[in-house]
Amino acid sequence: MSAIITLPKELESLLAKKAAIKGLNVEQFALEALQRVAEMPTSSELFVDIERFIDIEASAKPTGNTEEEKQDATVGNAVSKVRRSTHGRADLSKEREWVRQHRDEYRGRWVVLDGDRLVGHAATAAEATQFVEQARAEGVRSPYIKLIPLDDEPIWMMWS
Amino acid sequence: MNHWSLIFPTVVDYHAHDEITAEVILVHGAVSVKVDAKLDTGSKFCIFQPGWAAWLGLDLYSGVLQHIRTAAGSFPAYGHEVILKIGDLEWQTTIFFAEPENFPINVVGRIGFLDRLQVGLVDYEQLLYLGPYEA
Repeated sequence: MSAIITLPKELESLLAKKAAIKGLNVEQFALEALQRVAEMPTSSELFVDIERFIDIEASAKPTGNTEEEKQDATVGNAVSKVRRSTHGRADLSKEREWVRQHRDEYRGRWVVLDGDRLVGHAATAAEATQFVEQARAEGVRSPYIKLIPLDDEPIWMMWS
Repeated sequence: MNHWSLIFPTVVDYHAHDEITAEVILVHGAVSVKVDAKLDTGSKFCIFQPGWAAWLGLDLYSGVLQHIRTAAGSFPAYGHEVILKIGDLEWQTTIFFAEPENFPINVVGRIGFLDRLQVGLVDYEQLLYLGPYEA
């Protein structure tokens, strides 16, 4: 197929400049650019075929020379694949909504939730353990645990 | 003028939280917990309160010891292998659990979180866009 496209002057000169950098003429460069665009997935294709993008080596091809990589190696943290979860999306929306609605009742307390159901609450993390165990005994796969902050806590600045 | 574009398969809404917060699931073996963790690009590691080690069935002290220094002091922490899940994504990584019982915060930082992802942030809309890092 051949197509005739009329390019605005500014675009033509921009394309010529970029083509020259790659040692191509404008036609070759334009064809290459069109190929790139045609091969890019649309948003809908991306979501349908998400594995293509997710099931990849997340490795940054570490050299082992940087301070971070050495430290990473000391904790046995070989870079592993980022993959699509086989258990679906991590959804904490029910817990989030429960906390929004009830935070003023439980300020300073550790709460253990199963979705939007309160399993129990305690003054300390150690005391909350009994409710985590209770939730598991009830068949809750992933209990949500949170210390509801006191209202008058100072604002957080990050710490590193 | 140059333009760059990234594609993100996952978006996380953190409008319910005061800070930029990742709602994650930590998995160890058959045990998992849901937890909120603040995103801290200045933190080298992912650090969690010690309770989460216990709730994941981990022996805190069997992990790899690291001394973590902060602007406000330092503390020991122990690294353990877990699976970290956020949105649709999951990966195996080492996270650290602080030793002090009263350690006040959970944080996801560079190693184990940011180094696995491409991250886009639109704070005005309180949206965090995430995708796996592609080399």
